[in-house]
Amino acid sequence: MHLWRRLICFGSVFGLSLTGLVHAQEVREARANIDWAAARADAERLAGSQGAGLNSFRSANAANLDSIGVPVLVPGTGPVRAAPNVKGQGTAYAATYMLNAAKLSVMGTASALVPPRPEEFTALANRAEARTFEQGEDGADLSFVRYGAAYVLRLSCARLDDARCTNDAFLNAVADSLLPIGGREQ
Amino acid sequence: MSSRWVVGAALGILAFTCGSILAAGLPADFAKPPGDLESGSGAGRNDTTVYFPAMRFPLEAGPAYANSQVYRPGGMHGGGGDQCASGNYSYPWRDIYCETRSWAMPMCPGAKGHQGQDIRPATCKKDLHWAVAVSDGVIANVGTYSVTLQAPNGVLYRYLHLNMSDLAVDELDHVRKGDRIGKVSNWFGDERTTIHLHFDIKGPVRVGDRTIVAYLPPYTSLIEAYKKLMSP
Repeated sequence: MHLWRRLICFGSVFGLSLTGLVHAQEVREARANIDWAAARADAERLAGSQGAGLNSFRSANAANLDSIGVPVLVPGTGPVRAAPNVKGQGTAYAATYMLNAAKLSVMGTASALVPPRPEEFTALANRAEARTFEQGEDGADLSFVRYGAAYVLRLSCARLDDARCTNDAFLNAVADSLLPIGGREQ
Repeated sequence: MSSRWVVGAALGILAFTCGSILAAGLPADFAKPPGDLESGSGAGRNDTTVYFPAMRFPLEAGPAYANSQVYRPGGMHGGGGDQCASGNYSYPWRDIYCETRSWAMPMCPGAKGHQGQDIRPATCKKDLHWAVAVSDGVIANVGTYSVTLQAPNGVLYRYLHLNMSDLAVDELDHVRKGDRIGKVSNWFGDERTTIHLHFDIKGPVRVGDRTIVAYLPPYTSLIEAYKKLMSP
């Protein structure tokens, strides 16, 4: 490549960087303002309805669960009642379930991206429903925000025509049953 | 639109162009611009933002070819031919975020489309080329023909069509950026697809005082990651 083309590119980028305008293109990361009081209140209110299995799980894993910096939601008395496998990493976690011919994960995070031009997302945000069901390759997702944190239920079905993956009824039932069993402000 | 955004957008395009030119070992035009889809394959999203600048490229080694699996030889609307045609294994890359699909995709111009980016590995041979972790994180879901990696910030990176009988990870494993996940193959439930990696990214986005969760455009982040991979 000719030297003058390199110089023009370097010079242009360097010059504009000096103006500070380069930041207009950067994606930032923000920590959500979690409503821990509401999560704790729900946990206490719902503790009696969680069933012995989930209460036992919470007792046995209290230290692990409380090291996670986001409210840990897992299915309670809905269509999924098995004890989860949970792995936390700072302000995010994943809980996994092996179902009959399907795999379910409940994933939460207290972080969010802040795009450089958030106005491009305004219409999308205004249209967004309380829960978003998205069918796609290898299953379906249901996403929503609770206590200020973002959650995704991801379901993969062994068969593409499995009704649990082709319409929102199953994942909505799982979402209805979610209960906070841990998580603590870090 | 404020002048700040106009200049910012201009800077993005300039940086994108210059970055393409300056990437060592790659031709200047190795990638078409974001939103420039294969002819007749739908309307793309013209978005130069690099949402994940620290992301590693999802294949262990190059070269790799990001392009359509449907509107190219060997694809359903590719005009015949074979998936291993040399044209499929050559530059320039093509964005396929928003390529015509029935999936709801509110970030696409038509509100429907493809949710990620398809990438062919170096050669048209399945079960040979490794897909690797683009970030540190946890393997949060192993599906029928997909693997989801959750980064510490909660962003979900998904890999599809790997050889699911020979994964290098288990569910809830911790992985480091660059760790092997599985081999690029053609798994597609009961059927088989072309040999490629489908890679998509879902994450929460703050808009004012609201948070939404969306499939985000991966193409520009892949370009940046690929330039790093291919730099000597």
